[in-house]
Amino acid sequence: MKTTRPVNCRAFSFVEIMFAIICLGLLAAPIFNMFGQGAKGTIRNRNDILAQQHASNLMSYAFFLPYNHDFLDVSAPRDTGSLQVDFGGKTLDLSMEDPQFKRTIAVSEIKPPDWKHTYKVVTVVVRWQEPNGLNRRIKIAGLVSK
Amino acid sequence: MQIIEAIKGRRGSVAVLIGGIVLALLIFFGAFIKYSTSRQYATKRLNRVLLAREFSSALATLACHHLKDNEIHDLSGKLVKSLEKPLAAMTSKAGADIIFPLFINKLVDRLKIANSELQELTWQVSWEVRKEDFKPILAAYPREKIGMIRIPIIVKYLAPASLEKITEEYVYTVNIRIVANFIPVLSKFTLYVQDVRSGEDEERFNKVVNDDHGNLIESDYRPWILKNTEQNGPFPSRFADIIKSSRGLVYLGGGRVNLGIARAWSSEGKYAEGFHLLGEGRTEAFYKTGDIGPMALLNFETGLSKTDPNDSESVFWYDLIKSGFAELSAKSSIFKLYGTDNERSPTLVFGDAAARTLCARGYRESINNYGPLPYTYHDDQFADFISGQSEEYDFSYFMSQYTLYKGGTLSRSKYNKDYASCLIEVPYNRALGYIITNYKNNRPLDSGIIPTSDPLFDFVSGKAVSKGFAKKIPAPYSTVYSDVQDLSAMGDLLKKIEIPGRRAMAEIILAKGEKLLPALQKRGYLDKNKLDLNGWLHIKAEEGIVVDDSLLLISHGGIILAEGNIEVKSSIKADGGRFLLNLVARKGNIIVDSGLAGELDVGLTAAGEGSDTGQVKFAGNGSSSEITINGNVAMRRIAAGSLASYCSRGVKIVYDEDLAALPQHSADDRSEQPLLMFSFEYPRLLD
Repeated sequence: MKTTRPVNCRAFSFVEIMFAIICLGLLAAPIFNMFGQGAKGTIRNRNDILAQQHASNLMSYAFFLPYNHDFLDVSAPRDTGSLQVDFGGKTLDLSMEDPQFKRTIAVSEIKPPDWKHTYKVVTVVVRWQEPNGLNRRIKIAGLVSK
Repeated sequence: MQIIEAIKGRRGSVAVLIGGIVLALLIFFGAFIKYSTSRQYATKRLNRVLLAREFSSALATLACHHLKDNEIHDLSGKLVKSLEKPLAAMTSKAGADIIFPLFINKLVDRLKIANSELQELTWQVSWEVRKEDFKPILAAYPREKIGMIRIPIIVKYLAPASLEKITEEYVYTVNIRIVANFIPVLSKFTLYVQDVRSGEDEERFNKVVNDDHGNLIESDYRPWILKNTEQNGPFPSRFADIIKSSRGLVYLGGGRVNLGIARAWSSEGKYAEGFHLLGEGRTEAFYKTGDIGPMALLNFETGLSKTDPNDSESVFWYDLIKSGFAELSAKSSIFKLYGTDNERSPTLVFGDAAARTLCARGYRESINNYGPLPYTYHDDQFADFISGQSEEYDFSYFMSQYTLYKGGTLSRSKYNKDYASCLIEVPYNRALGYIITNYKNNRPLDSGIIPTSDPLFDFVSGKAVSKGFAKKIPAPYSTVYSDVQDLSAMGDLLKKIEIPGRRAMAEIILAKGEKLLPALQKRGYLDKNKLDLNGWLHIKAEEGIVVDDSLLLISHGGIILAEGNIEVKSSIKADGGRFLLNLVARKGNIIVDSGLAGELDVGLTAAGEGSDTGQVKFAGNGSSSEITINGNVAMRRIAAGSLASYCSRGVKIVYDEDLAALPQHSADDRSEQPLLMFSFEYPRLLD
């Protein structure tokens, strides 16, 4: 039996290449899957950061307000997803562009006995759903004093 | 066999290649996963940092309130002790943990629950005072300073998805202003009046009608009684010792005023001032003023009173002077600047004030030849008295001796001027000579107890006015402002207090119709009726301000009103401590309502320059309820054209001796230390 290939040929054969591609595909698939997971993690990160930002914005606004401002009226959690406020004569847009986020603010008042200060505990909660369906939320609580 | 040979001849293989690629991918994706994971961790960590920071901010707020409303009121506490020291004597670093009261801890627990993502959260708050954080305000008072208190906060919680504890350390700072509750120089005076005449004559204050014992017998005017010190020790015989003592001084500037001394014959009535006089105005304390041959000329002084026609002694004094001074002798001064016989409180009176007394004069040669020398109003009366035939007076012996030893005939006018009984005006501070020598020396200035070189000698002898001492700010208070040395420069002294400025805690602008007390309540200075200023407030209010509800002081405080009047209609009292509210009307008056009675723990300063401003007015009349000022009173002018309306009620001014803080005084005693106020701002995170 005689082969037509030159004996001193150094390249890969078709079979070898096909074999290599199949092996590579089999081995790389889980790795690419990990890439997908990483991408989802990035989205989660982005959502976390955005949620923090939305909560911080509202909390900062609350801290700038006078104690008796309507916005700081004692209340159960109320929606503040879409919020435009008058601040220093200018209209400030504190709305959240991304509809997946829901934001609430709750205010409770504490009047310690024999203490001239009264306090309001302002709690901001931002909720959203991850692409995988997981419900997420972050909660920030701060103190406003009279 | 050939394939094998061919393969054997290659320098690489598919397996190696695949392995390499896979390895590279693994390394790449491993790094990516690690990066992605760490980024997620960092995001979660960042979220907790945000929560911890909000939590620390809340703790800082609570800590600030706790320091401001609890610890700073503990005057023997470590915080106050650290802050009240002179700047140079402060330790480089002092501090302590803050222990919140239970109700604040409960509040913190609520915050912990609200920040439940911070798992196993623990915290620690403390305060720290560093010398390097402070700078001085006024060199004369080294305890006054501006700086900050540090509030280090440590927050610990579990790291995300880990058992590792994360420790966050924050440092908040609270700006603090430490100033004294006084107006340098002016506060050294129990009563300061820049222009006491206020357009009227020197007799304007002789309005009080009292009997021979110093009790009021008419109620149109009630006296102003000053209590300049609580100390009962011997009065100092050196000028510097008087000034450095804690007693309040008196300044009556703007020209000469004659102040009638109330009589205290035989017993001490409520407003008696016998202690101004030799023998305390009650015993026959004659003193010799000269001789005519063997005949001694004698004086005896007593106070002024309205004559009681049913009292022979009262009539005796009156008859001696009635021909020339009937009207003047019937009224004594509104001002009892040294207090009264019952409550003696001598001090040094600056300005040109004279004390008026009834000076009974007489002669005495022997047990048989002596007698009084009455004032005569007419030549016929004079002739009658020297004739030896008068049933009223006979000083014929005196006249014969005069002719014998002096030669010539004594005219009535010269007799009246040089020898007759009369009312005399003597330096108000002359009484200090008697007081210092315990009324036992009829010539205190000759006793040597007060050195002639001492300015007190000039005050007692009446030369302080001509020498300029009477209106010069005395040392060491003269060192407070090197460019203000004149006592009458009230405006300059007030300009120097830096309010508004570095010594002011805050400025409040009241809108038209806005009331003071609700505004103070709104800003947290007033809680119910407890006033906690702990600093100087500068207030702008076009319509003035009114204290129309009772105030209890739980700290020192000062209010300076830029323009308009301050009306005090309700009581202002310290709630336990020795606190004082200083009220200053820069351009208006201070009016104490006629319906107000009892004690006010206030310093009242009115400095307006207009014709009807700059006055502290006590509305009412001699029948109004008695009122006491525990503090001091300073004004530019007094009841200008309205003495009956605003000066007749009378007032007792009990000097708050803490106000006499000595400048540049390192020891706490007699320094500004008891007057210090500590005003806090809001906490800020130190970057």
